[in-house]
Amino acid sequence: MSIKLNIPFKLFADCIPVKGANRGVLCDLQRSNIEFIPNSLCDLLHKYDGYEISSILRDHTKNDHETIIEYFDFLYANDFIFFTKTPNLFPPIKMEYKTAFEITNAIIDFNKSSYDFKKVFSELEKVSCKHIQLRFFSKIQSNELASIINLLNRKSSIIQNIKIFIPYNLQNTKNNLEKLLKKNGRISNIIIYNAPKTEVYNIKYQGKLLYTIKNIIDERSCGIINANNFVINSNNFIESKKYNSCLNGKISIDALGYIKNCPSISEHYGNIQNNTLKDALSHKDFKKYWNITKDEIDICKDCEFRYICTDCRAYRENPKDEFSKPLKCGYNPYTNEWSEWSTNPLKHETIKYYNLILD
Amino acid sequence: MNEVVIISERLDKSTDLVIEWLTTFGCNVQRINYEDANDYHVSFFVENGFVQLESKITEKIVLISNMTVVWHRRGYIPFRPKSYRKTHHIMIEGFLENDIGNAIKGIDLILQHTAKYYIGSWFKEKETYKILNLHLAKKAGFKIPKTIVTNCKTELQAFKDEYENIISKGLDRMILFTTNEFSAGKGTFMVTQEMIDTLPSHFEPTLFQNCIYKLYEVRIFIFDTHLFSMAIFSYPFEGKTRVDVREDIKERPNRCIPYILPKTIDEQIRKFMKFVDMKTGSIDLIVGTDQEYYFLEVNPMGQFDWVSGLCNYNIEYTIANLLTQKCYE
Repeated sequence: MSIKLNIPFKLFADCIPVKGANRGVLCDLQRSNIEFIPNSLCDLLHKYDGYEISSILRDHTKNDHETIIEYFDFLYANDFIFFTKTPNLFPPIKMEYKTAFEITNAIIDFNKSSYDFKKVFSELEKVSCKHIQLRFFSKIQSNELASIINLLNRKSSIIQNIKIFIPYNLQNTKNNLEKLLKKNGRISNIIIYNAPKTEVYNIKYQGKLLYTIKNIIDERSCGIINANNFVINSNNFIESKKYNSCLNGKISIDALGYIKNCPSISEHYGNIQNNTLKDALSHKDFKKYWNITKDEIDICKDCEFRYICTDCRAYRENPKDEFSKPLKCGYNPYTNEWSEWSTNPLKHETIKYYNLILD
Repeated sequence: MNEVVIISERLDKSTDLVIEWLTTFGCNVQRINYEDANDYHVSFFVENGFVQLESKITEKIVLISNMTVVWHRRGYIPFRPKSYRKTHHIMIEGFLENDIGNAIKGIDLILQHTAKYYIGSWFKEKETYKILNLHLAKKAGFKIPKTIVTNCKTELQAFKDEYENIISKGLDRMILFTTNEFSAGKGTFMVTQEMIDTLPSHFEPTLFQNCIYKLYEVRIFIFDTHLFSMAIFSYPFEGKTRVDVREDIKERPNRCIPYILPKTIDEQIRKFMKFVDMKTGSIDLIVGTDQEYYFLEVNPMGQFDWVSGLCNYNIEYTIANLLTQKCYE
């Protein structure tokens, strides 16, 4: 089937073009995919969505016609557009982000820590947190882990999803970890880092065991911006347009028990030993990063990946500027090149400033 | 009073999400899952039309009265203790199933009037008739596919000769057979000449419709005065998913996007819902290559979480908001 010049075309509402400094991307939110497109095509789509292709041709010189037709052949062949005589019946997806509870996710760090897990979990219940990450920086035996997970087994708990990071440890056999997964239906992943090789085991109906050769030293290992971490779906896209894609709705407890927005950020709002999460959350500064969107961050605001990317406010290129680009991002939206951030000589001073440990 | 009772099933995600919003709005929510029949002593007081459920575990009493706002999402009031099910002779079992079902449907009908607000109905879910709905949809102004129910081969052949491409589906629900050994089912399927040739002249009554050539399908979720519409484009346009959009294909999944119903269609939907006396449900329409809207069917207790998620409609928020308003009315 070929494109129709005299019937209006519509972009499917779940396919959203995003312009960058040098090129654009078409974010396909239902199929979790991106296609690179020229910025000139982004402009055409913004201007002519809902009109006939013939009207674009009319507005452009003959020289451009072949390119324009090529663009639309590509869009049609890849299911990004359709033709309709009633384009006004197809509205865009509303960019409205709503969650019932302020807190949507939590990171809980553990490094031979002495705080009380029971209290942590009951506090998480009180702020209705549904997704949690437990990150262990020190070695932990599977039986110790089992007793912690047991605390999360309450039937009526609001917690829906638990992700666990543990260092590789010969004594924790695959069998033992599988048993852990089965112990609690809420655990979706156990990530075993610093493993001898990278392997994934899908345990049917239970979750995943992920072995990775990557290492995590502590909270300073976080914040790396990488195309593998892009999240291409409407929920993340819409949240990124309105809020910070990492810190919005997040609450954390660092390895020393300090209550923070993110464990990697130095500002804390009391300690879990004697403060509540609710009190921390009500502190006037707790949410200070929540509304910083990629559209406001230097360089990111020119990047075509800004609504599918993660963010990091803990480690910034310029530590004194809250709107500075994430330090651990090696992407240059002006040249479209990825390079290794950690070896960039311009970043060395800042790496030292944050006292980061590099692999 | 700000108590909302939700009759549902254990694993219904939409119920969970609505409850989250209701609690943030300060409502006191009582969720009753139909699977938990063993946990309740249930009594129905016919005179005033109230239902009392007493939890055997917590001894807490849930009363559905003229003070209660009820969302009947899935399932039914857990009246029949599970422990008795399937312990009787098949003949007695059949009698009880029907007899108790009769009471549950009766209660459903009464509560629609006695509760402060009641939306959703198991009665409607059970007593829904595809052919009646098609008939009423036509009355409401919709086009409908040419439809016959017949047991006669010559009639079927004449139908096939007239419309060429015809389809069939279950009269009540999807065709599905399961035993311990196997499971086989079919949604909507094309009826070929070979199929007709194998039929005897007199066969089991079956529904046939002419195949509508579609631009896209429209799914509309209705909740009280709110309508949420979504267009479904199935790929490839010519081929597998044309007949039944549920047969989605992995490499080229359906596109589901927000849709605005033309005013006349919006009005026809509301008219139809009045005819069938339903406050909530999901309607499937086809927009044909002739640009006409064809009514396919209505699903009284259908899923809407996919409509809500794919179109970012926040339907759960709207439902919770409406139920909260009804509490304070």
